[in-house]
This record gives sequence, structure tokens and C-alpha cells, in this order.
Amino acid sequence: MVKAVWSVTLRMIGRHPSVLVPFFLKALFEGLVLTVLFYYPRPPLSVVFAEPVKTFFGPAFLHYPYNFNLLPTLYYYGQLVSMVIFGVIMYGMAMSLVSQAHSADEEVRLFGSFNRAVRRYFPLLGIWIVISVLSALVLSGPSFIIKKTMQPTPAAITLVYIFSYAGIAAAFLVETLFIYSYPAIIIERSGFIASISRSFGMAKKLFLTTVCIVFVPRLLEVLFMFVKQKQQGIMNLTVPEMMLVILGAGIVVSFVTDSLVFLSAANLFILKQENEKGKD
Amino acid sequence: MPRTAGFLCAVFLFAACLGGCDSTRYSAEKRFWHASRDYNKLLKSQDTASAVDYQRVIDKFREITIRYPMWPNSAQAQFNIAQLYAMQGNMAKGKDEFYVILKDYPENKDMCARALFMIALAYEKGDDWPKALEAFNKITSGYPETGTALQVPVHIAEYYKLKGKNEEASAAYSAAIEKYRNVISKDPNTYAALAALDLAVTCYASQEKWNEAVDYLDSLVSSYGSLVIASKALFVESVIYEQKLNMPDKAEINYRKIIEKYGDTPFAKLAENQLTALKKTK
Repeated sequence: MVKAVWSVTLRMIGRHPSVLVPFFLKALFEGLVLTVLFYYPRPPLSVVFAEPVKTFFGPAFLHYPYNFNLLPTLYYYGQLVSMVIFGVIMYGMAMSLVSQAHSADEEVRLFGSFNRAVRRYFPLLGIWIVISVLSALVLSGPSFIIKKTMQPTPAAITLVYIFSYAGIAAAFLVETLFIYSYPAIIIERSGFIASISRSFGMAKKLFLTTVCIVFVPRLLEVLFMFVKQKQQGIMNLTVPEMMLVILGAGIVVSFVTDSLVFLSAANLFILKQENEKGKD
Repeated sequence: MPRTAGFLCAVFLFAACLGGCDSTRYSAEKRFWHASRDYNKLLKSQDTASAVDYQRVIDKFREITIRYPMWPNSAQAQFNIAQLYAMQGNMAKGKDEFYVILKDYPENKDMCARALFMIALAYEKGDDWPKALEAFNKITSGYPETGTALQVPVHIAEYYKLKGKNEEASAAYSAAIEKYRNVISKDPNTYAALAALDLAVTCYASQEKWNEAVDYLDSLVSSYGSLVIASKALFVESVIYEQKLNMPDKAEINYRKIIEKYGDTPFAKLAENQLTALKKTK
């Protein structure tokens, strides 16, 4: 089943490369955010960034090479803003494009899909917020509790490690449960709550397939996460600009994994929908 | 096609705009960081480094001094150039480069004092003591507020001691101690006063005058009881009691006093460590 979904997805990308446009635009937007943040210590951008950076992080971060130490933190906030104002619309747009690719005339309309996603902005944003908050909770909640309640013994440190890795798996599981909310909102025009219920229902029926669809591409992100954990060391060994390269590579990795996860989920959603209609 | 061309133009203009976002300060910092990294590598591999390696690093610092003469760290770049020549044994060229600091960065008093100190050391190394002394005196008269100026009196005294000129050495140590006492009494609540205390103790230590050192430190504790300098004086005094005068009991009393009275200073933690070590030896 998983192979079939991936095969359908890859064939679709081959026939309609424009289904990748939303992910490409999202990556482009994130790249733009990263570029702006790379230039923040220099004029004219320093006019805007100097005071907040000085106030919240310290004046040292306005100077080379310390600006690169702050870059991941700033980029994290930038990514959140980028997702809120642009990313969720791109996810919705991708769902619409997949739906059009499955239609009888197979005509894919970029602007039409964009408009459709914009009109469903708030439910899409709601789903993204729910996924992000739950993921953040399962990722850092247990480690936070352990650190607050236990002494830093070797056992406690091991426990933090175990929960950190378990947290990554749990975050992917959260995504697995909510992944069909996006196609439900765009394709079936479901509301916020209805889309969650629809997603839970589908994830329950197609649990293993959905787990594979989400987990396998996301493993690439896990591998990249290990690189990111060492980013400070890599930067110290090479040049400070290496931080920019690592963050840029992260955008490329997200482009690949997001495309695979969302397009496969949308395809599976539509195939299941057609199957249900066929039975009716 | 025209749309694609328009898009490409927009991307190009945007990139050009960002490319233009280059500030002098940031570029200077970047060049300086890269040059300093090479400089540190060179310091670690001095034995194997060739003249070409030295020249490469010198060129990098030179570019900074030429491109960004107004940048505050430009004087440091010039200082590093001079040091690189001195490290190669080219003292004449090194001195010339140090003199450039005095000429081009007169407003940077710290760096000028450091450059003069290096010039004096170069003369000293070349056995031209009158010229070295002239340079040392220029530091104390021209840049009296700098940390380098504080180092000068003890350095002169140590030079005489090293050369076996005991009378001159004794006079120089006395003059140095007098100077450091003045610095401390002028404003005991400064970093300079803390540094002067160390240097004054160095002068007593070089002459093995431990009891005089203890008396002076005692006077500091009683005069400036609530200031950080008093906690430092008491700590140094305790170490002298413990390690030089063989009076561990007195040292122990003093360490306890530091922990009680100066618990919020860094010397409390040091005193605790000393006390633990002292108990172990008992």
C-alpha cells in the first residue's frame, strides 16, 4: 500500500511538477528569511534588528562571528512567522493541486489553488498550531519535567536522552494523527473540528500506511537533526558561515520531506475518498 | 519569456541590493577574525612555519589596516603585524611597525603603551638598555592611566635584578612599591588598584620580603575593610602565611574570616578551596 501511494505520488510529480510549487515557494520564503537574518548586523537591516538583538540577546551578537551563534535562534523565530503567514497557505495550496491533478481534466491551476487555500487560512492555521503545540509538548515536556524534578545524576541524564528520542517519535505520531486534516479542510471543505475528526478516523483506518508515509521521509529530518546538534562544533572547526550552510541545507531537507509527506498523504486521502465513493 | 526575464531581473536586483548591504565595521570584523585565526594557527606551529606563512598572515592584517584605518581594532591588526616580524627575529622591522601604531593611532592609548613596551623589550633584547629605559619612561609619562604603565616599574626592577645590579634593583623595587601604593590609595575601588596590589606583592616576593608584604596587606585590610581589595589583600596574606611563612594556623583563621566577611566576593570560594586543601595536609 505504501509503495503504491509513493508510486502514485512520484508519477504525479512527473506529470504535474507544479504540485511541488507550494513547497518550492515555502522553501524560497524560508530562504529569504534566512538571507535577511544573515544580513541583520549590517546596514540597512541593522537599523531594524540592532535594538531588539541588543535588548534581548546582548550587544555581542551584532558582531562577527557571534551573529552566527544567534542565527539558529533567530531563524527558528523567523520560521515560525514564515509558517504562520505563508507556510500553512502553501500546505493548503498543495492539497488543492493534488485534488486538481486527480480530477477528470487533470488541469492544475496554481492561482486557483492559492485562492482556495487563502480562503481556508484560519482552519489551516489552527491545525498547524495544534500540531506544533502538541509536538513541542511531547518533544520537550518530559525532558523539562525530569530536569526540574530530578538531580542531574547519570540515570536522569540517560532518561532525558531516552525521552528526547521518544519525543521525536511521538511528534511524528502527532503529525500522523493530524496529517489528513489538511486535505479534509481543502478537499472536503471541512471545518476545524470536523477536519480533526476526519483525520483521526482516516489515520485509525490506515494507521500503518500513514505511519510509514510520515515516518520514512521524516527520518531524513532526524538524520539532519543530528547534524544540527553538532552545528556549533562544526562551526568552530570550520568557519562561522558554516552555520548558514547548515540552516540552508535544512530548508532543502524540509522541501524534500514536506513534499513527500504532504503529497503522499493527500494522494492517499483522495484514493481512500474515491474508494469510499465507489462503495457507496 | 519577458516574464521570466523580469523575474530574473528582480532576483538580480534583490541580490545586488543585499550584496550592497556591506558595512565597513562588519567586513573589518570578518577579515580580522579570519586573520586572527591564521595568526593563532601560526603561533601553534611556529617551529614549522615558513617565511611565506608569516607573510601571508601579515598581508591579511595589513589589508585591514589599509582598508579600515578608522576601525578601532585596526591598531590591534598593526600590533599583530609588528609582532609577526618580531617573532621571525626581524626586530628592526618589528620596531618600525610598532612605531606606526604611535604615529597612526595616537588616540588608542592602550595600544600605544603596549607598542612602546614592545619597542622597549626589543631594545632590551638588543642590549640597548638606555633606549629601552627611554621607551619605558615614555610609557609612564605619556600613558600613565594604562595597564601597561603599571607593569613598567616592576619590569625595570626585575631587569636590574636579572643583571645582578642589586643596588639599582633595590631602589627600583622601592620606587615600584611606592607607585603601586599610590595607585591603590588614590582609588582603591578600581581594577587598576587590584592589579597594583598583585604587582606590589610581586615586588615584595622578588625581594623575599614576606613580613613587609604581610604588614602592607594588613594595612590594606584595615583601611579598606568593606571593599573588594580588602578581601583580595586578606586572601593573598593568607596564602603567604600558609606557603611562605609556614604559619598554617594564621592562614586558616584568615581563610575563615574571608568566607564569613567577604562571602559575596570571588575570594570566598578560593578561600574555601584553600581551607579544604589545608585540612587535607593536616
